[in-house]
Amino acid sequence: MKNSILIFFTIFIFSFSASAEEKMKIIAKNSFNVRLLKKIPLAGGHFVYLTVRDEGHVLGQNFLVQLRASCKGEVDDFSSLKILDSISVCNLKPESVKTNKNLTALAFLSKSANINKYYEDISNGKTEPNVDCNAKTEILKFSLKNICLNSNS
Amino acid sequence: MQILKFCFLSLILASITSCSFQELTVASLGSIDNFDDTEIDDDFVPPEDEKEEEIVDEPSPVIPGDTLKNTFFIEQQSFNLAHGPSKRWDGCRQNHKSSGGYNSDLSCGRAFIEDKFGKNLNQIFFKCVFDASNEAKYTNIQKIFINHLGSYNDRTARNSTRLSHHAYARALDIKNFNLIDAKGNNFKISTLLRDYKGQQAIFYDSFRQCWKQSMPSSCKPGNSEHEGSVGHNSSKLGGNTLHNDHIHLSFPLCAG
Repeated sequence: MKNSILIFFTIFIFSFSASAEEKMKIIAKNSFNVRLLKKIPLAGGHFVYLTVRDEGHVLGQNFLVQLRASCKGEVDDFSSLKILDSISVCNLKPESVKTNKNLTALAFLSKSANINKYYEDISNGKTEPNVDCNAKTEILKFSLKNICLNSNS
Repeated sequence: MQILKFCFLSLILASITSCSFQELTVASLGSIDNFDDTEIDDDFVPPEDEKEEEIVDEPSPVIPGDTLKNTFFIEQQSFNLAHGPSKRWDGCRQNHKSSGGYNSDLSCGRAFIEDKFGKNLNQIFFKCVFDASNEAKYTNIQKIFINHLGSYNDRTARNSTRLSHHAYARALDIKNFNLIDAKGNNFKISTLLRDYKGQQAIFYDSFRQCWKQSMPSSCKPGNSEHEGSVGHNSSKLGGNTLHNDHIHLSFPLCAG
């Protein structure tokens, strides 16, 4: 009886650890996803999608904000749409996305001081320096003019 | 009693494991909602062009062109980075033609530049800037301030397992070129896709073409970054959508 209870708890602990590890893998995979920030219908049945790619491309900017367009109506898989424009940011306030003639959003960009400190840390032999996303604000502006005029996207 | 103790310990161990994984997942995601404490009013008007406090140096109003050294100021000291040695470019030296800083048209700073990359920058960069300026009708350019988005970054190339040229400090991401003429006038050349028109587009293509021509014959099609730069799709030398907001300028491994 004692032994069976011990075996049960051992299996329970191992199964829990495995599921946590599995969970980590899933999150790691998802962290490269393209997420939708806003979908905007345009005249003529076209759609514009403001998306964010979780993997940034330049030092100190963790995300890549992308403007995509569908000239053939609404789509589910916005991540495969043609990218019309993109800007690197270290963060962005999703609820600040607004549409009028342009598409605007409040973004945060890494300061030069953060990178200067990062390079200084490396110079001083710190093996794992981090770029701090202590940021200055900027309004991103994406033009919505002339989208889908000469495109079959 | 012993069994009960074991059960109790097991449950504590399991909850500790759960908590530590929970923290890791939050950090890994790099949530985009990190700025929840930032209140934004509906009528929020952003500052025109936010200037940073740490401005170290500004271009002098009159540039004594002949007295400027036609180089980047590369420091003598060598640093052991993750994938080889590198020197540092001090972008704050006003008596050199090429100065610069990260994500700013005013604030200067240092950046790691691998030795051979540094030598090529010193030999050809300003010539390429000067020639491209002339072609785009920006005349009498004496000096440049480079607004860049970093050099050394120990990472792999995107969508690949090979190391990026940034991991060797052999690449510099250029956001804006600030061309300064003899009278101190500043002409900002943006590398954003949306600004690729008129004089800026002429400068963009001419500069990349000039830098490409400085690549040694060992760099051939098929070699990684054999043209020495990557830009956006609309440019003459082509590129990809990851480079819609900067030029990736490199001295690739094929160059020696």
